[in-house]
Amino acid sequence: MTGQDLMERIEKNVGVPWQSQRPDGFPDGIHIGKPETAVTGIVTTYAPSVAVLERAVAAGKNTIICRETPFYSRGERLPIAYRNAPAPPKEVTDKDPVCRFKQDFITQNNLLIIRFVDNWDARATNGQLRGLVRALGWEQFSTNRKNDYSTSSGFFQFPVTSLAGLARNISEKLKIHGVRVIGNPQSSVQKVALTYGLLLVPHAERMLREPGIDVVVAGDAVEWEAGPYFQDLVAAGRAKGLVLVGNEASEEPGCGEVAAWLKTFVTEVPVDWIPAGEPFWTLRTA
Amino acid sequence: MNENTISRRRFCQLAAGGLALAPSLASAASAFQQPTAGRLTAREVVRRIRREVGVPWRTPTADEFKVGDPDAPITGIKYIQDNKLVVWRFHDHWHARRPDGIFTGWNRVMGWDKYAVPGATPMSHEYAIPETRLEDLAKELQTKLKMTSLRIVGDPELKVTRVGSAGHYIGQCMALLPRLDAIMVFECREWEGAEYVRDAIASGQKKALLQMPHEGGEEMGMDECAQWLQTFVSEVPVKFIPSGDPFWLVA
Repeated sequence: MTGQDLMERIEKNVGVPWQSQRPDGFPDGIHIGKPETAVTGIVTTYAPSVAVLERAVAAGKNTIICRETPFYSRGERLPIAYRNAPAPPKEVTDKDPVCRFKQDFITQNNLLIIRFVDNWDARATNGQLRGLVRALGWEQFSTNRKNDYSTSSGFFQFPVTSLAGLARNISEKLKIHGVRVIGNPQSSVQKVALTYGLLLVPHAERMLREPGIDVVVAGDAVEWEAGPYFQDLVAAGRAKGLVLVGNEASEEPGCGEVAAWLKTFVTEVPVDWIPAGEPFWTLRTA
Repeated sequence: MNENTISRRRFCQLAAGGLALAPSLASAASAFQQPTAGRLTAREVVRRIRREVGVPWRTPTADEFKVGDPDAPITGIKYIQDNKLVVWRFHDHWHARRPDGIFTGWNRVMGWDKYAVPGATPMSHEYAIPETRLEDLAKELQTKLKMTSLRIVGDPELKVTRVGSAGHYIGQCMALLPRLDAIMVFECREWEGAEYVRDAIASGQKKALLQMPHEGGEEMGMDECAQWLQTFVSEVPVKFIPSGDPFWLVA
């Protein structure tokens, strides 16, 4: 099976018309590597970090399927000017010692880096949300009795707890340290809206249309937008708070779902999920 | 909860009275009511700012009236009359001053003016500090900048002498990290700076990232701004009210 064969098989199985994104950004597909390269094994992950690539190579796997790009940019594909950076030009990444180290490692090991985001997220069942819900162990609390993950966010009804208790529970379930919270730690919370990745305020507004939401849980957020917005919601008594688990922590379980899905139609080579892991530590845990 | 919460509650009480304010300026609502002082208007204050700022006025700019009547009399730079404030954004030109007004305030609070490495560009500020462990540097930043959501990438024992502010974007991180031990970002998308620095470390380099709230990088510059305004606005009180780090970390 070549990289090209793998891509064709993914397109055939994805269940939605294949979406090609803006040509000036980074569309789904082979991001680095030759399509004719034979696939020796597949690793799914959030970001193709140096550590993940090294572990993949050590395990004899040359194909990485990931959400983020190797050189730390989503390019211009998201219309969120000033919220993330334009992709650094190639003459910058070619000279940068970190990028060069990674590029050399990829070349020397004949790796295939495949980006798989938009088409995965377009599937009828949202794998990112399902992965995160399963990692949190929240299935039984879902207000969606079908648990069909038909959108990018879900609602959950818990026995009454405190905001601090909820945040601590999330921190323990996801085994992470850098959970950031807005709101009074002691306020009582019951109903939670959950999503993954970068939260923009319009998405938060949509989730808050669900009656009775106390807390929104997401990956990360644009601080100058979501910060004051949630501070004001809390002050106005319209919500209890915001919990941000980190972009990686919120997206990584879904990458495990990608591996499980790939295994249903890729049997010639091993498929494994290697979590990139939370990048941060904090003074409280030092 | 901190005093910030009180100010926001007060803001929302005001907002509920029919006022719409730019959220990032919500802390203005904790302004105290002052008796009308003469005929000083917001428009006049802005005229003086443009005269004093020392850089050519830009078009277009974010620095404009967001809410309120520019010709209403001023009772304090934060104006409340009939539940209405005047909100005037001052971002682009304060940054455009040399030295950048935001960094002037930041340096003063950190006590790092003496460590500043000459040649700072608008997007890079570098410091040569006495050698310190990364963890101790993080503690110093957290204390002096009154932050509650600092996150770190790198070995706590790393010895740091060269540190710099890499803004918010990956291009700025790439420009600085090769010649520094540690870079500071005041909000940076997590797939940019954090992934870049952890790869630098994985590739064998001794590097670190201090990921701080956006507020921690810029708040002190608005204290500086209040002090500067006082040099040419004397009719009314001018006060700095910190917004505070919006986040706390799970213990």
